[in-house]
Amino acid sequence: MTTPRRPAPAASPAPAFAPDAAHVTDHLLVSGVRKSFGATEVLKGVDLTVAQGRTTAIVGASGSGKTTLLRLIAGFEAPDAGSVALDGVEVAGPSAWLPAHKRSIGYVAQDGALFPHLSVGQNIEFGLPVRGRAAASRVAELLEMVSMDPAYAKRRPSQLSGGQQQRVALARALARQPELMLLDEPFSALDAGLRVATRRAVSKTLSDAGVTTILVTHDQAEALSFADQVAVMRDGRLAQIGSPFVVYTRPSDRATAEFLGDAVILEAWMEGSLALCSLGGIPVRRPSVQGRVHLMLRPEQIRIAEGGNIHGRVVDTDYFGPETTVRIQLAPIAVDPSEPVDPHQPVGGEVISIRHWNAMLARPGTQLSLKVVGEGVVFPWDG
Amino acid sequence: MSIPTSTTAERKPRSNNLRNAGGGRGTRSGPWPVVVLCTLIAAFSLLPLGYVATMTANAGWDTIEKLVFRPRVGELLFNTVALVVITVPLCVVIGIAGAWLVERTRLRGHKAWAVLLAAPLAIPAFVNSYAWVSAIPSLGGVFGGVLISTLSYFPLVYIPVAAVLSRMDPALEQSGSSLGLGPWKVFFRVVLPQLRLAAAGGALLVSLHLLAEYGAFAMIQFDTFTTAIYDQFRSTFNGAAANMLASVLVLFCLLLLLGESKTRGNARYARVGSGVQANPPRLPMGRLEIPGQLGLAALTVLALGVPLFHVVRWLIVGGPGIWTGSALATALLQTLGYGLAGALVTTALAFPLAFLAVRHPGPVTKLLEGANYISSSMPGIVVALALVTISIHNVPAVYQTAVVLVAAYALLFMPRALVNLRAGLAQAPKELDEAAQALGKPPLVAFLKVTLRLTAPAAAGGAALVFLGIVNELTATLLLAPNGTQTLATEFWSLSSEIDYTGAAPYALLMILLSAPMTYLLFAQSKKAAGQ
Amino acid sequence: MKTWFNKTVLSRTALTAIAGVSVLALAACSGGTAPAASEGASGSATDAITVYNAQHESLTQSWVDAFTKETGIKVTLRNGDDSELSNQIIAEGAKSPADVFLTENSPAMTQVENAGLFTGIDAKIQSQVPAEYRPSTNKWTGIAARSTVFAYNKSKLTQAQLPKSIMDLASPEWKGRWAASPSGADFQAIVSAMLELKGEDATLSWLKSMKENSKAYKGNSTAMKAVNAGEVDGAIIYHYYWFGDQAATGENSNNVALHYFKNQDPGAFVSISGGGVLASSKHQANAEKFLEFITGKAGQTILQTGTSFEYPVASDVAANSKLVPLKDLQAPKVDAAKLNSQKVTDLMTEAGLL
Repeated sequence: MTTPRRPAPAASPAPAFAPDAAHVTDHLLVSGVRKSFGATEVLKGVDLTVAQGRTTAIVGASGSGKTTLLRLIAGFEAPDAGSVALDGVEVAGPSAWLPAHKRSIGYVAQDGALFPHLSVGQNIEFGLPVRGRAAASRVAELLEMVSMDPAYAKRRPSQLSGGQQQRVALARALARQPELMLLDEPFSALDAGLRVATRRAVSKTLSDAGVTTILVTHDQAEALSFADQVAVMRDGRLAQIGSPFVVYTRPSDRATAEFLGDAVILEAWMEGSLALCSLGGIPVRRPSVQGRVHLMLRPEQIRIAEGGNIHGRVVDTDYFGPETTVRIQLAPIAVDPSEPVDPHQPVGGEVISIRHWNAMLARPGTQLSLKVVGEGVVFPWDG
Repeated sequence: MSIPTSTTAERKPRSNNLRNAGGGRGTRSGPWPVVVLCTLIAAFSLLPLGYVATMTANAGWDTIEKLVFRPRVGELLFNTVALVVITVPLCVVIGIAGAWLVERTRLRGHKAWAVLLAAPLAIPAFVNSYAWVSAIPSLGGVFGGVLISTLSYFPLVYIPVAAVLSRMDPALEQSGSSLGLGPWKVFFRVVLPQLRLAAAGGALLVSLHLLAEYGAFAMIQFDTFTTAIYDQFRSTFNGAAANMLASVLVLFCLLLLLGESKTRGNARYARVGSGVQANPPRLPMGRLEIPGQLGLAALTVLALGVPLFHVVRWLIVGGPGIWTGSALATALLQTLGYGLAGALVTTALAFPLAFLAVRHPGPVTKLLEGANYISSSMPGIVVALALVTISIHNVPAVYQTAVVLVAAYALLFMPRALVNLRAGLAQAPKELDEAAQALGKPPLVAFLKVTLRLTAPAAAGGAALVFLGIVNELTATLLLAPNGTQTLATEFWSLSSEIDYTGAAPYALLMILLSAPMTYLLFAQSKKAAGQ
Repeated sequence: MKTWFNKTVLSRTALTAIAGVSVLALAACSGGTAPAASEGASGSATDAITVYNAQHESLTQSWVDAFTKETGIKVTLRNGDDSELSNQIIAEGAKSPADVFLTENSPAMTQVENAGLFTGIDAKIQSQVPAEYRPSTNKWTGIAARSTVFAYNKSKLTQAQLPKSIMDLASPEWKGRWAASPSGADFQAIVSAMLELKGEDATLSWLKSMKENSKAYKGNSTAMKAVNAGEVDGAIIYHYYWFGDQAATGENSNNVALHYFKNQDPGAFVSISGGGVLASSKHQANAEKFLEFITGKAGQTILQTGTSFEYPVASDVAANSKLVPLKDLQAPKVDAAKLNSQKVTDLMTEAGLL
């Protein structure tokens, strides 16, 4: 209520230069963006860079602010502070404001938001500058682009399945050939089987079209599989930005680690590049702390192995068909009686969950040998 | 004849909490021009209440004492209370029993009965009264008032209750049965409590109609506050006595609103989810088949048969002569003109309120809606009295023009438009507007092409109900109509007051013919809202 | 907040749309309902006039039809009751759209006269109407007259059982046996005569007994219909309701006979219907023409020959031959200028009749 409306910038947001395939430019630049609704600060200073033609997933729990960030980028909301720039042109900031319909964006909402009073074809034509035959052929082309039969153009949105609706919504958003595609939880309303197929189809279409894409989701698997870059949002801030592999295997903090997937967290003692825990000494790359720490491993790093040097007893199992979650009681950390004992050192003996394909192998009470592959990540001890 | 919002289909918001958070503060109270506009509309709708309050305050205690605390007011109070206390429970019992029979039993012909039980709404109460006076000339007193108003208004309970019954989740009843309750116990302990909201809403509407009705009671010499205010008006234009009676009547209405909200407690009117697949079980009637059929037949004969028979009888007695002359055509044209203008203006005024209510729910919106809710419960006579006085003293330019009458119609019938528009706007979520903007349409174009377009059918439905209200409106029209205005209702009234029953019959017939499609629309709408 | 930029534009559209629709709707509406819209400056001979009419709509309509046919001047009627319209004219004051005011009874005329809103009648009207049927002030004129009667059910009452005076109806033996239409101006005029003849205390006590004894109906026709049906023995109404119904079908009056109180009884009151031209009228000339027409030969003959059965009072036109001649009614002498409608309403309110 404080800021008066802002004059639209004289220049259009069209790119100042043609992006060169070899030269990856920053298509979107979000810097220092803050946004409050009433007394609630939803975004507390967000910086994000998205490269031309790449796909970024913003992932976070409900209420973390990820949808607000997307709406700011789209132009449905304006930031209280900070700025948003597209292709180097500021579209929202202290001295600029470009409303949504003037930004070169495509937007696909959670349920597709197809206009119920228009047919599929009319929905797609809605954003087209052309009419008539040209539009009709473009509609057919776009439907094919999202792997749908052009005959669907005559149908009503209500006659489509959820996945088809989402694909039409994508075709509609693509019709204007936007430079930036914004997807707001587009797959969450679909059931599991359809979700994967639709996600794959959408992903392929977008990468074929070479459109810069931002996907907002609360589903970490979706984020990891869909994007080139994952930005983890927590409590109004981006906790970590990186490639899916990096954020999954080397999360910046414990909350991120646990949000992005199952994590085995053990008490450990960090000395040099080795973390001492119930699983023995685990190598850690560039540890940030020493002494008492939490060690994080992904469950798939812990394997049942004949002759492994770690021992545990199966507590119970959960059978999921293709794999079984096995809960294992680890032996306490072996202590050399001749060494003096540091009172802060962990004692070990935790129960951990790992996964295994063979349900028959692990009956409760069975003694197992384990081994650890790869490196662990450590976080400061927080009690 | 608006129906409580319990019959309104409102889609559950599909969006998660986050999206609501995204609605944000700027949007939480709404864009300021809309808020300002709505505040103006709400202030306008509080005019009658303000008028009565001011008049009462200005009258001074002596006048109040002299004009309010007197035996005549006692009589009116007795009559009015007796009317409400007897009629409302009767309407509730008949409405629920009827709804249960047509929705939950295997009574033969229940589909036809379902329509027939809603049909009495198409017969204006004062036409009903005219027919009954033709049948029993000595009809009058509390008995007459109760008889006519019960037969005219029970559908106001029946329609919403039937809608709830038809969409009620059968699982609840099944769990009742599985806990060992017999069918009757299930009805009383499981079904009936779920009907409470719809029945209370219907009962409130019946009560408000009872307080506001003039013609039906005047015709049978049954005096209520409204008829007494009108008598005072005819003797003194806008004297203090009329104003004092109006303030007592207003107090009465406010008490009813309070009572209804207490009944409702914290519960909101149930919203209809889109996903509920209702296929309620129907009980076999067995030995009750014949009493059930007879009961419904008797009700239909009394509520529908008697008025139709007498209107037709007077038409036959009158012969072709009663159709000649231009008065009938003039009245029909003016009624249509006012109906259309009133429906358009009312819908247009209701739109911003509905828009705020759906898109920006919050304390401001609640307040504005509350103001509208209270004002809409003001009887036509009070609204008319207020507008006559205000226009004559403060806005002489519009005095005795169509503007004032249309304004009165807007005040009286806004809720009908509002309820429908709210449901319509709920079908046009903000996301669709945003999708259009993201497709390059400026907000203005997006709004017109998407929100307005999607709301149009609901707006038309609401406008039709407002139209229905205007066609049958008598009191405010009598007081406010411009010189030379004749509507079907006023002409019918003028002729039947001079006991020219044959001359009045064509007007009665036209009002019924105009009302019938709207009543059917209302009935169909409640069924649709219930997901059938 | 910048979001509001969008919302502002959006809501402006909504506003514009709403304003547009309202204007259109009202235009459509007033097109059909404001015949007085053509009102210009005062003057042209065919300028329409507005008549606030408390007389029976059918009677005034016959006057209007004949008048318009003769002069080409169009007339718009606003129908209402005596006191409703008199109070309305007073409330409207100088802004009143009324050019002419017609009543059934004189108290409402007196009320408007006392408010100083009549312009007075011209010499032509004065020459047409005998002095006894117009006030000495000449601010308005009588246009017709009607007599109070006790309409009774022939099978319920014999001649001998009839009340000798209207005042007798206050006695307990009449409890529950008679009817009236206390909310109507007709009855209120009768009470005003009683007030003038018997004083305030006697009138109030009579009204209080009436509250006990009588049944209230809305309208004289309805009261007569009740008498006819035997719901009550008799009713205080005006004479012409009976004659009107007899001339039509008689279905509401065949069991009814009329009893005239005579003897200068308050119940023998003959009420003068009045007509006057408003000082605020912008069409004085046409308004006077209308009043001249009503009190002239043609207008009064409509009373003689039409279905109203009211008494003519001017231009030497005799009453319908079916009626008891005016001079045989032995009506009490009451100065029309002294009839006080406000006081009557107050007394009736006090008695609980209103």
